[in-house]
Amino acid sequence: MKTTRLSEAQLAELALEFDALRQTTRQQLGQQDHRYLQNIVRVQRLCSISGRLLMLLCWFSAWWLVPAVLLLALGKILDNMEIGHNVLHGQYDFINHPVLHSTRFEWDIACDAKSWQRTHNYEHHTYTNIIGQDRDYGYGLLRLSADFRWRLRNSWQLVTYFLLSTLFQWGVSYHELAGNRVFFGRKKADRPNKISDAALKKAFFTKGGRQLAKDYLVYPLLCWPVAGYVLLGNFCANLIRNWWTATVIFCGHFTADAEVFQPDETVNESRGHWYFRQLLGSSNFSGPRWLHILTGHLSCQIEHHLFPDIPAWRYPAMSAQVQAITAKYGLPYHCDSFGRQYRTVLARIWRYSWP
Amino acid sequence: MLKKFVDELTQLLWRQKPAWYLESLLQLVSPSFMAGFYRARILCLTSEADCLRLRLQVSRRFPLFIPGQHIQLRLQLDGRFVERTFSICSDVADLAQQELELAIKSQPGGLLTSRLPSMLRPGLFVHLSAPAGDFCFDSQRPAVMVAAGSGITPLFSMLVSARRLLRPVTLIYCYRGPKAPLFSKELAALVNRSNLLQLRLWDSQNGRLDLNQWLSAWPQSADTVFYLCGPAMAMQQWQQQIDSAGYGYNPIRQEVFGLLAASGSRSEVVVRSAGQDIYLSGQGLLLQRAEQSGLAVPYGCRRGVCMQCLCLKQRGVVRNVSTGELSTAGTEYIQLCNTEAISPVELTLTSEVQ
Repeated sequence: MKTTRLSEAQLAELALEFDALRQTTRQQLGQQDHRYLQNIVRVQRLCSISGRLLMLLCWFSAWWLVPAVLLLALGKILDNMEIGHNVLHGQYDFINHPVLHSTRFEWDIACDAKSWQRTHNYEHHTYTNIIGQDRDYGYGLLRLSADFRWRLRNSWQLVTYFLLSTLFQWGVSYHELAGNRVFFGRKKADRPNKISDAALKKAFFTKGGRQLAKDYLVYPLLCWPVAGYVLLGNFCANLIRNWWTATVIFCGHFTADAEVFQPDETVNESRGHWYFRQLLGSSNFSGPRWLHILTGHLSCQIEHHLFPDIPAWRYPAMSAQVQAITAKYGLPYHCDSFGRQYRTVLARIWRYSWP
Repeated sequence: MLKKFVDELTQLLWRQKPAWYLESLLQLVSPSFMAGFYRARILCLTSEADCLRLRLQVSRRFPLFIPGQHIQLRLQLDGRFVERTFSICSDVADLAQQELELAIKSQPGGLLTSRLPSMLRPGLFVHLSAPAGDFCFDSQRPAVMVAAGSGITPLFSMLVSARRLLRPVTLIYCYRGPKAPLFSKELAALVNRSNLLQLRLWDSQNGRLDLNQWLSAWPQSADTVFYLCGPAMAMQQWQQQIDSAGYGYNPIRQEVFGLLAASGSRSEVVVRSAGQDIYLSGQGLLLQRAEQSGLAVPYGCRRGVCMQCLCLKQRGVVRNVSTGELSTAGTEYIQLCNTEAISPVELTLTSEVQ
């Protein structure tokens, strides 16, 4: 049940307001955004490189592994969230940078960037929270609303959720192959094959293989005397990154307030209703600036879904204007602390474990 | 061998070339460092005949160029990287002192050139690509050089770099008066230095230059090489005039400055991107149409040189507006910035070619 409804005329007005906000922000893009991205990239490089170097000190004491892992994990989180996610959305394409550009960037994660762009930028951001069309709603593994039929396997979906978080980078990289039933399952007739299975498999194994070779073969070999520590350290850094990203991402659309939509509600959807759906289907969490950066500003999921191509660091500043618009139309603006939002996510997973 | 190994290794470890990965850190030490480009310090700026002459000090690593070649000048404008192509217009011997010169014509209403005088000042750094291009001088054969406006730049570099001319060279130089043309003093000095060089100035206020008439008055030998450099429109006319004067079999070397205005085609163009089909709105150059349709296509020089906007054409015929050449109808790579659709065209962005 939707909390609010707007008439088509109101939706058209809403679209004008959001379009105007988007337009004024786009006109401000420039030097500031370039400098921000450069600074984040610099911090990310410092974290990753110093993390890898500190691992060498395990030669003297194994305790060095702790700061090393934390720095490397931080580097990976910044690379995936604040740099990778946002650059691959094309937020910084206006800079015309040779590498930090949506068509050329590749990130430190098992998922091939192009595959992610198809499933995330296109599928998830277009069909956000539409039951049966947005496969990011439950990732085909979890039952998160009563719109899905209950199955026995849903009773242990808290465990499934924990495993998905643990292997999150592989879940993301397998996402498109799962949707196209590349290895298992019967092909869906209504799913047009935009890319061949062979190409999907190739990208999956190439990127995944390179990532495995990098973290578990080449780096340990390069640091031979402490190869064991390096192997363990890389594993832990990947694990921390997986848990962190999964936790942040689950708070985006699976909180108690985030609403879902039926396919028939969105046939010939107007631009206003698209904004309306993005707004109601997403939820924010508040926190200090460093928290926003570590989440790649997915803590501002609402602003991100309204304006996916605006540089993410601008979302906190846009939030006040978005809230003013939502207040004007009597629309909800889902925002709470990180802890409380996450608790409602766990409650939702638990609630729909049962019929 | 070692370099290749290091490149492969960093590709695996960092997913990009080492210089790109380390760029932000190297900039802590040297703020003007930019991966993939050569740094150049501005020595002096002078304005001459609606051009801005830019004398640069390049780094020791800057490769030797062949007179007539061009470089890409990369600047930052409101946080955006902007690249433009310019012919080097200085003596190749100046590179011994690590100096070279560019002459930038200010385009009325140009995004970049109109803001250059306020952006650039001596002491600042700009960035250059490696020199490229095959427009070069054959000193063994007599030459007729025809330049219009800033098209003089590569020809001037050829003439000033030739220590001693071996065969006669005639330079026909169209300019728009009443201001004296670019390099007028240096050219006069070159004419004094060598009696094999003849300079014919043509003020375009007196009407269009007619090469046909000129060639019938001063016949040329069969091995004369023609060097043409100027706007595409003028160059097409010169070619026709050379043909009709009976020199159709002589070799012609040319460098086009600027693009022909796209002649308005409304052919349907579809771009496949991230699994979606995007129909390009508008008309004219494909890159402009793609951008107007909200597609973020990588681009560089926007004049058909740098291959940044390379795109795989699956089918359809396009015309290269700088050369007027038609493509085949089949699959091939094309640049978006200097082509327009002649038939319905289907494109795949290069980044997505599997």
